[in-house]
Amino acid sequence: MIPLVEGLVRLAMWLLIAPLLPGVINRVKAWVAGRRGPPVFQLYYDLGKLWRKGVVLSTTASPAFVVAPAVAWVGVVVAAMLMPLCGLGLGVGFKGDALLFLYLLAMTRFCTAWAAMETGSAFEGMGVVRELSYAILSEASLMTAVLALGIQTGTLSMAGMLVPSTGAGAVLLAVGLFTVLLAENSRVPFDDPDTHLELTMVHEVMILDHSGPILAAVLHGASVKLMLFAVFLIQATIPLEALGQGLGLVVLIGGVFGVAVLVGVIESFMARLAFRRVPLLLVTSLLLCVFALLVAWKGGAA
Amino acid sequence: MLNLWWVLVSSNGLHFLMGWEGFTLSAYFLITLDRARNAVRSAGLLYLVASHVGTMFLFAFFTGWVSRTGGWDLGSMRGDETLKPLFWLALVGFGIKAGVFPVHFWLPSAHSNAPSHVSAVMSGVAIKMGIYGLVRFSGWLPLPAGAGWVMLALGMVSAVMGVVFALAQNDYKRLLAYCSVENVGIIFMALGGSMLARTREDATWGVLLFAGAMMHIWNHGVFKALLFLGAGSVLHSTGTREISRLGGLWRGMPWTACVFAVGSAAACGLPVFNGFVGEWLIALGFFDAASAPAEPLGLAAMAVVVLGVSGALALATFVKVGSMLFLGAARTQPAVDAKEGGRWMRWPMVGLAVVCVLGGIFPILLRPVLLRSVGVWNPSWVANELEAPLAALGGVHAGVALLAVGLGILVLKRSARGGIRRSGTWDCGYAKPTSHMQYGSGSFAGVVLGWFRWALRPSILIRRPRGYFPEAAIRVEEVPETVLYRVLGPVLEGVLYVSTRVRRLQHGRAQSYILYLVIGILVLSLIAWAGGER
Repeated sequence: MIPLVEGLVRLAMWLLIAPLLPGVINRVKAWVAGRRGPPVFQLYYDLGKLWRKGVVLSTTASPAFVVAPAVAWVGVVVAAMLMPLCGLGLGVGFKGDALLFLYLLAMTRFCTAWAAMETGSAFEGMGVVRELSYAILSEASLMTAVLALGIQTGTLSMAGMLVPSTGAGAVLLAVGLFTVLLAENSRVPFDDPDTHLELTMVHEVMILDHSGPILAAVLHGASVKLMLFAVFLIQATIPLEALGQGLGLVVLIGGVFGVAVLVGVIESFMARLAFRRVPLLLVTSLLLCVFALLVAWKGGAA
Repeated sequence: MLNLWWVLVSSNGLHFLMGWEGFTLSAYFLITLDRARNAVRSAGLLYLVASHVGTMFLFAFFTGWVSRTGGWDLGSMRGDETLKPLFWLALVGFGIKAGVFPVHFWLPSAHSNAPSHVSAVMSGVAIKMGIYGLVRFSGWLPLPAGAGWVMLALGMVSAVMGVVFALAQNDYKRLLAYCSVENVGIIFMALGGSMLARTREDATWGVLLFAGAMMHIWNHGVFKALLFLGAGSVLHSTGTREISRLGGLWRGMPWTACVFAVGSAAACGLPVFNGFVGEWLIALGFFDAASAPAEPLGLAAMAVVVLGVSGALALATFVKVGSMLFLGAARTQPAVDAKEGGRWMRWPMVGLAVVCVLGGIFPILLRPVLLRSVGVWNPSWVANELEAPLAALGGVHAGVALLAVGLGILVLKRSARGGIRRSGTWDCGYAKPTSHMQYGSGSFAGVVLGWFRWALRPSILIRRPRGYFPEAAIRVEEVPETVLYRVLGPVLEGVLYVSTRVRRLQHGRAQSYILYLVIGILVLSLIAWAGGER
């Protein structure tokens, strides 16, 4: 009974807290720019409104266009449920679930890209190409980061590898993972979530033709994904276990919002990179993760 | 096909070779069923020549085997240290058949030009014969020190380059053929790893890797056959193999579109489908190798990252081929008129797609078979367990599948509630989008191909727009079989050049022949004289 309750609590945390993060980011950006900005809960209102709205579909779209975002959402949420929350949800892990976690995110990417191609427009094709091409590099970084964590703890289950801190490689890993977080969640400097009418977008351009409940699924999934990366980043680099479960959880949630604030600050002070430079930055994050891996290795040998 | 079975059951080297040769020849006739086309004939010839180069190595291999062991009987010969170098002969001979990079050059043209049901069998089963031979004989032979490393390195190169070439293709059957090169690479990686485990006598990850390799062989057979059948059904109804001429086929061929999507997801190694389970086992094995307490294996960490990267590349490749064929607007008239094939075309594909799903949800059922094959390959691992929670993975897969179906239905119902409005693709306000404005095959692959230009060496034909009222501009970019045309081609041309030069000596003039004789006798007598002095 207890694991079931625990699971429901975690699910509720993921589903309910996640839409807050984009609100926080927007609030920070507004504050830096001296505007009042939208309410923190804006995404909740949007989701509710979209869920009640009807749908307009492109004439070229097949039923898969409607189903794919739902499957993508399932991919993100199941991946989130594989992630322990500071002592909560340690029981569900098994050996190799870290790889399953990565591949579930890949499944989400597949579905989003597939749905975007349904519309048959040049614009959305462009977004798909960029997303999938950059994903090759960020997948390599993520894989390396997971390996670094795994090698240092000698286990490949999320529960085992996230609990202890990473020591010397933590800084490398933190910077590397934060860069991947920005890339995977389409934030500045990889992508500008504010623009809607420029040929410069990655993620937004893939969902131009989504509307109503479909768009709600996409937006909510995206916010869960952002929270997922933030939680992963915090748990991989800060020794929460030493603080005990209660305090650890508070620090974790604080850290997640800290990440959101940081994203907002970066977005306020940086411009988007030219597309030629994006692979360079991603390769840099890969190298940081590789160095973290080497540190983990040497630490294990010594 | 009978020959194939013969190869599998023969326990005598001579019979094995005869079966092998018969199988190679029958495959040649299957490839060239459509003999009237020039491309088919040249593909068949290339296949025949490449296979026979491989068979030549096998002849050398078996000759060595017979002369060292004194008989044609096959069986475990691990104790005999003198057999070690034979492994390299087997690697080349079987490697050509398996189509591992860089000796894959015959594979894309052979598989794309064969009729589709033949390609399904060729890609699903025939190239596995090469792997079968390698597994068989690596189990029987003592392994030289570098064997595992070479296999692992070959596999890693093959896994990345195979899929990069696949992404570059504009012919969907060629694309699938290159994807086979990638999967053979993954299998080679796993086999190489398990060979290393055998020489290091580390059973935990060796068992995982070997079981993963076996699993992936099986899975690749299923999903690749499915994809080739799907491709065959598209080819049958539209008559073109060019990705850029199709599009929007889901209207005419909903069944094919569905099963092709399933096959694509399985080929990318996405969860819920069988492709993931094999890759997952292999990745687990490499991870255990990299974190082994006694002797961690550095290359194994790289192998895991290579697996991830080739998976991401495969994802781009299959989104490309799936969406270009089945989604969006039709680019040409044949694509508009496409119709589903008959019942006999549809049901085999549906059956294979169901196997793809079941293989992902119930991998636990394969566990006894996998363990038995591990025991046969390396008898000292008979007692070892497969240290991977296949049941838990199957459970998560089942959960994801159920949730996906449930949520999919929910969103469908919710969207259809007020009636779905249809309108043209909005796309930030395009007034009248045409099907030619869609992203095409070349533009889709463009970003990644830019990164790999050094290896792909595409041939590019550009006519830029000029003047105030420019005529049509052209840009044709084509990625050839680079190993064949850019590496092997020049080498063979060099051989041809030298041999034509040498041929000039033979021209039918009796005087010169007499001169050759005189020179030959003089040289011989010089040698004899010099030898006599000593």
